[in-house]
Amino acid sequence: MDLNTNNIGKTFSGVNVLRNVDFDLKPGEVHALVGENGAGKSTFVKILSGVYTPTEGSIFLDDKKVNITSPILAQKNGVSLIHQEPQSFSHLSVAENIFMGHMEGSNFSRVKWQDINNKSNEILESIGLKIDPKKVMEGLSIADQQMIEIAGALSKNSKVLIMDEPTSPLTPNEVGKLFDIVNKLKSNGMAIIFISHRLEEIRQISDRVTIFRDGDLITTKNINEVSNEEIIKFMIGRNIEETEVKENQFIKNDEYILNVKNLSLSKKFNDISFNLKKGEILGFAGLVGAGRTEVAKSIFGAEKFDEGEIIYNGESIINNSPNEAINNGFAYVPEDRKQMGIFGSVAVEDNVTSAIPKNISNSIGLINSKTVSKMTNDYINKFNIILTSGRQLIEELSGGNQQKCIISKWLLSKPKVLILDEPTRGVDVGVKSEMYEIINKLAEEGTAIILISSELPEILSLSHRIIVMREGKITKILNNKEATQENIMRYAIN
Amino acid sequence: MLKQISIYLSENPTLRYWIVRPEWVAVILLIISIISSIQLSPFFADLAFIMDSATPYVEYGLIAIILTLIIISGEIDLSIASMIALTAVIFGTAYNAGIGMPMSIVIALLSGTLCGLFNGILVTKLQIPSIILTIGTLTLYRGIAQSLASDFSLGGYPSWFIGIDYRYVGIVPIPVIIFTVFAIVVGFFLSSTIYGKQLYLIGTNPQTAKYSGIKVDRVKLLLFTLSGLVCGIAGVLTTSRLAVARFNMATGAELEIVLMVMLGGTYIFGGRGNIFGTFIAFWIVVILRAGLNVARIKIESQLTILGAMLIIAIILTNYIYSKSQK
Repeated sequence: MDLNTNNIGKTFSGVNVLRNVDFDLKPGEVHALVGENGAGKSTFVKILSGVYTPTEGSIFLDDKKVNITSPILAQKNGVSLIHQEPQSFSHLSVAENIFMGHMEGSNFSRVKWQDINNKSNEILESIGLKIDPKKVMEGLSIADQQMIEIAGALSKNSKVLIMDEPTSPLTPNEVGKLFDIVNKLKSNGMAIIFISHRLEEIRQISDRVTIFRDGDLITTKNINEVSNEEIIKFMIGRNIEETEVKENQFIKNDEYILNVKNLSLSKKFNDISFNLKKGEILGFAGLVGAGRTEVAKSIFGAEKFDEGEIIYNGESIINNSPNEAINNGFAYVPEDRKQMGIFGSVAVEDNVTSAIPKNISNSIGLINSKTVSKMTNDYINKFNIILTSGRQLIEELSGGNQQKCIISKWLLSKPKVLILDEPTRGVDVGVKSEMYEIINKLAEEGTAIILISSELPEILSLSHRIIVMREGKITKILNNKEATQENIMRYAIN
Repeated sequence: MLKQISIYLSENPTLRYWIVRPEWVAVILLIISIISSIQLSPFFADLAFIMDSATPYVEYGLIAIILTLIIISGEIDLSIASMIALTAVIFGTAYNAGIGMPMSIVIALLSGTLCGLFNGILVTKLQIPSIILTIGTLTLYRGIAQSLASDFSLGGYPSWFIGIDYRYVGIVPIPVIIFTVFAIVVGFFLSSTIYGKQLYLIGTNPQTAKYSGIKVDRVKLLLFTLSGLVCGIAGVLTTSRLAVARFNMATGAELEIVLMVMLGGTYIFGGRGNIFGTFIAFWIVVILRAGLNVARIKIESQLTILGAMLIIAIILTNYIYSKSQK
């Protein structure tokens, strides 16, 4: 089936996340989509599969305009989405999972077990799988569950198959098995959209590649007409030179405050080693899911680690809880502001002083509310936080002002090592540059800063050195002189 | 008009903090109950009579105050009534075994503390939701009480121990004084100390609390243990009042205690509420029960009225929270 889109766009509460996408997909083709996190590729396939409705533009199947307003309608039109993590009913059988939602007969007729088991068997055999359809889903490997999801799509006579990062949970062996099936489907005339961050796989399996960046479709190329270098260049754009690189002058001292050695946590990260100087901003780059946040949480004591050593001020320490970490001089501004950063229905001043109970109370624990107000007001003025009073509930502030409150909260604890996890996510441009000023000033005053960020310009302009992580491992440590968006992306992907 | 008020309030957070509070609902309900009770019977307006009517509820009131802390921090303890019965039965058994009154009291309080500690350990270490776990221990503790005492009433206490509700300071029975002092102390702890403040933070967002260095599990463990201890105290007080201990004491009391906390405007999902509300709610229950008794309204109908009151309080509380939350 031919799939074409014309001028597809999507706006979420005023923010334009996808613009003017003209895309085409032919039967018997594997078409790869690539782009950084937030480039728009996921939004695009969600529109194709009916999860989102486009704000503008239209979708054509075999040159007929179709309105895909729900996943069920998408499936009826022959478009199926295979999720990254298989979405299965784990207590039901393989056959039930394959035929879920489209068994023969009315909603009240009996299930024809013989029938669906036989049909499941046929479909599974047609893609070369030997699984008993009566088996319960639970206990099958992720790879097998994924194949069964594909079998489900086949049972619905799908003509377009969208696979969203199908290889990321698979072992290399399983990836090979998946590619055999993809090739088989392709030769039967299936049109396949394949999303992956691994350029090698894309090269191996796809015919064409389309690159997204910041909500725009940048270009579509035949895979053998484009090099990996060129793809990366398209992904990050041409304004590479414009990003200023930080001057590294004032960090001549050799006072290491933190030395992390061979830190490992099974299934999260492996063999992480780095050191951090006083006054240094150490950037952590990588794709979402590369394990950067997990490393940060382990250092901060919010998660355990299996192996390795953390040397802090020359002594080996283990933070068993955030409480110990804070007392040792660590601070962590989490990535998920709403879940881990703020106390929503609590006053700003109680939020700001929540990490320093000893500084706002006397020896028997009585709170000095004057101190609380004064400390809060100092930071409200210093950071220009916009609110009506310190007693206002923090959830009533804008995202940027909430973030300023959280930074204030951690600065009050006078940290020696400050970990910032995506500190400018969901913050507007004005607040962003204020935030950069604050971060730079802190470093100049001697605070050691770990900056986790998915925004390359941000990480480039702030960091003295940049650690690039991929799939739980450090792939490269770059000095700011040698760091560019290009080589960061190369180490983040390959 | 209403809209103007709400805009004015949102511009004055401090004023809003004092005005938009659910315990005003409890205060209004209390005033209504007093007025209607006096309307129903002129004999009602007698302070000594009201004080006397309060004594049977003091044991519940004490526990309601601790339960307020637990609910504010986002948990619940439903094993409270069973802990009253178990500690009372252990107390009676110990005393009848001849180990003396002071030691029997210590053993009762200790066993309550251990029951609470057990709840707390399972909730924090095994991460079992407290609503499920304490329904389990509700049955377990009552079961242990029954196997200890069978269907016997454990009595035979010295006369100085029996009838604490008949001892007064002025016209105020001693249990009511205990309750009031306890409410003031805990209320002060909750509103003015850093530990009190942390209960609200834990109840509002346990994740953020953990990342802010608050020892969430330790605080919860302490609260559950404290709940057990206070149930032990209530167990001994009840035995003194009734002169006997039985396994089926305080059956169903957990709901009446939860009712007091809810009526006082504490938010069932945690993070909001205070002791003043629970204190007022205690008096609502006392006055309604007494007032309806004086008016010779049957027990069955009393329950209906209490239930209706609770529903009204919950609707208004939720409305107020939705307004203050926006």
